[in-house]
Amino acid sequence: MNKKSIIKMSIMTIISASVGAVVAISLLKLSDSGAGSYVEDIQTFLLNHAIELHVLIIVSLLIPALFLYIKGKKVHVKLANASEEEMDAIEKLASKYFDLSVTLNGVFLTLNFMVFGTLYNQAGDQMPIIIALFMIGSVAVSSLEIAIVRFMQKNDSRLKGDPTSMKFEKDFLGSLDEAEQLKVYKAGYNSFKVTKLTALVFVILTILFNVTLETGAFPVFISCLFLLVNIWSFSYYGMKEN
Amino acid sequence: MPLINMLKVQRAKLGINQADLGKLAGVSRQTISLIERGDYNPSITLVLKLAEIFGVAVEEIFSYEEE
Repeated sequence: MNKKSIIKMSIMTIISASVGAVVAISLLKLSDSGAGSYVEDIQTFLLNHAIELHVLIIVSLLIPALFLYIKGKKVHVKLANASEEEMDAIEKLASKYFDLSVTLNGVFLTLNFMVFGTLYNQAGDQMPIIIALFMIGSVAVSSLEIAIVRFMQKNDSRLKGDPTSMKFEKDFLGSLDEAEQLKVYKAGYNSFKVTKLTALVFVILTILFNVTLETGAFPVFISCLFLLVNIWSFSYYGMKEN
Repeated sequence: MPLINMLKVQRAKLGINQADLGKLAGVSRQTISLIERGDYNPSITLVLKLAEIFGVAVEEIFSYEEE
């Protein structure tokens, strides 16, 4: 390691330590100011409006996802009468709609689980309705994903894989051509980098929250486990390729 | 090192569109379009397949210009 690297690392360590100290002091001050009561107020509000919250995420995420899927299909139909010059633009637009639909669908799935998981067994009389909304949301998410895949396969006979099967990702990836696979690999690697950084931030935050606000060791454990899986899986698959 | 490709020219000589060429080569129409625009450099396998489809040598489709 040369002198320049040592100096750079030292500066980064000092900056990180300073930022950590500022965050910790802020959290302590927040804790002393009675911020815990605000958190309780928010939780009470969420519990009292659990059904409205579920409906809100369905209206703001699931329905737009469905709308974007329908819009993507309508755009895709135009390919039949398009010239070669127009095809690239049409396919790009249709692909954008489908990608956005899948993204919103994924965000809805996550929030659906989050709302259900955090409010489970605490919402009293509202629980049966919340369970029903959660189940309907889960079925809707899966149905929309299957519909998108089936539409793509209908328009491109190369694409294989049964979306209801455990082997779907492997079969689907195997049926893509080399340029499409490269796109997936690049996106996968970028996703790995973002996830690794996010997991590291979560580890630090959960430790700080535990120290200052006594949030417990479980969030720290889960964050570390997630980071471990992230790093290990990348190393494992990298070594497997060798 | 820029790759020069005559894929569009060869395709026009053969009189087929991107979608049909893609089907013959086992790739999507978008991939053929990416190659023609120079936004994607194909693998040696795909290059050899294309040469076989056109019935020409690889150098008549792809060549590179030394900087």
